[in-house]
Amino acid sequence: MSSTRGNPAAVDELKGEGDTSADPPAIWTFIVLDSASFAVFFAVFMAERLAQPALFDASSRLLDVRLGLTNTLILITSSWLVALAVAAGRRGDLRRLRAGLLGGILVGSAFAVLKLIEYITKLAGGITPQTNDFFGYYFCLTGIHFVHYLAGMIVLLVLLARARKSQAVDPELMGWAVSGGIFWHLIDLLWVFLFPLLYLLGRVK
Amino acid sequence: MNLATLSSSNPYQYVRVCAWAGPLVLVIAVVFWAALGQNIPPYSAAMEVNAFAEAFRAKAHLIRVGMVGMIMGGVLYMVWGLAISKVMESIERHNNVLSTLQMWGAGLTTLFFMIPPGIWLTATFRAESTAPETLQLLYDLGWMLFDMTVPVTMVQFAAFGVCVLGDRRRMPVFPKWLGWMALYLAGSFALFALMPFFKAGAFSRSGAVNFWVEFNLFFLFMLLTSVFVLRAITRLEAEHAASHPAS
Repeated sequence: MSSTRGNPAAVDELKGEGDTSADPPAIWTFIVLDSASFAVFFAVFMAERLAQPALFDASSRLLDVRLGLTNTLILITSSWLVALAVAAGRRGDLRRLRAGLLGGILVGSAFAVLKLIEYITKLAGGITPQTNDFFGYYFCLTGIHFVHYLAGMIVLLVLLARARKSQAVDPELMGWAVSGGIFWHLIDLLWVFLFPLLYLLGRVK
Repeated sequence: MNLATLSSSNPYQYVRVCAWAGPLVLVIAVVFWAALGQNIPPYSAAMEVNAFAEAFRAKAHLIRVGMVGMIMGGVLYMVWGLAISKVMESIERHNNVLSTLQMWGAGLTTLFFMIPPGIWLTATFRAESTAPETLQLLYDLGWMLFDMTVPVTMVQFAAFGVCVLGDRRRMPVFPKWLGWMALYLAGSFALFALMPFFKAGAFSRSGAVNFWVEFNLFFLFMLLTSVFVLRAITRLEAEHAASHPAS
């Protein structure tokens, strides 16, 4: 245990708690690194695609565009609701903050349902990550995105629980809501890249 | 620095020395494990077995020196971990769970600087008379352990990241972005789980993601954390001196 605890007032001044809600959220470090990783994934996918264009196009046409498009709309809508929640929080409107988060979670949960249906349908049809390079990347990239999505849903649930316990919108709640909202938008943004890359590119004549 | 003040009680005695173990183990890893050990990048898992054996035997004498250096120096990672934990203790308010987890994570990560290099060292020991398939198997075994024991490092970095983000001081001990970087690395290390499924490509042991991105970020994080740990020790020593004036 640290023996620096319980220091006199002189040190308390150095240690004092401050309102850092006006600072740019430090989560941007995470967002930039994570986005850069996905940029590498996308570049790797495109490089592999150049090597085997016919295989990648034929495999891509086996994906269900309707499911992919619906999931895109689901994530954009959910992201919009979370953006409304954060905007309400900034106005001090706790009721709408909670409602926006709840809406974002409910709409967002449909993404998991459709994604799991898609995975199960593919696996039942004998298509696995080992089928070929395209499906290797399909399962890896959407799987990594799905892990992000699950983390994002947990973040939203924790935020909602925190907002339900609060009596008013405090700076700490707002700080976490802004950071959580940014992370949720990232998940939406990454899918907006993944959808055309995996589902649409193979259909372009 | 008032040495008379610190001589009575200095909770950060030896911590600075321990913190320097971070940059030192980093240099050892780059020189011995990476450069001499022929790991920039490692031999691809897609190499044909005889081509691999020929390439490995040609460099076995260098790899042997590299792995001996890494094994002898690897323990410094644990020493570095202790310095991080001592600084984390100044942030913790309720208990020492996070600093303890970080210490255990660092201590166990130390093993991956010792056991896989021990396996690669074994492969070099009789490289000329060892069958190509056996050489490749030993090389693969080293890499499986090296990449797949990463969860202990994930725990180390996650505990550090959560602690940094929970710092409530007006001037946090570590910058918050470093905490987010730690959490990002903890998460991104999960990508090593894809390594056993690929012999080539971005997720293979020598690929763009699981070698170039992950290891460069890991080493960069070690360097940044060492710098901020050393700065934090200076500040914490000053705080301690201010709160314990010489009598």
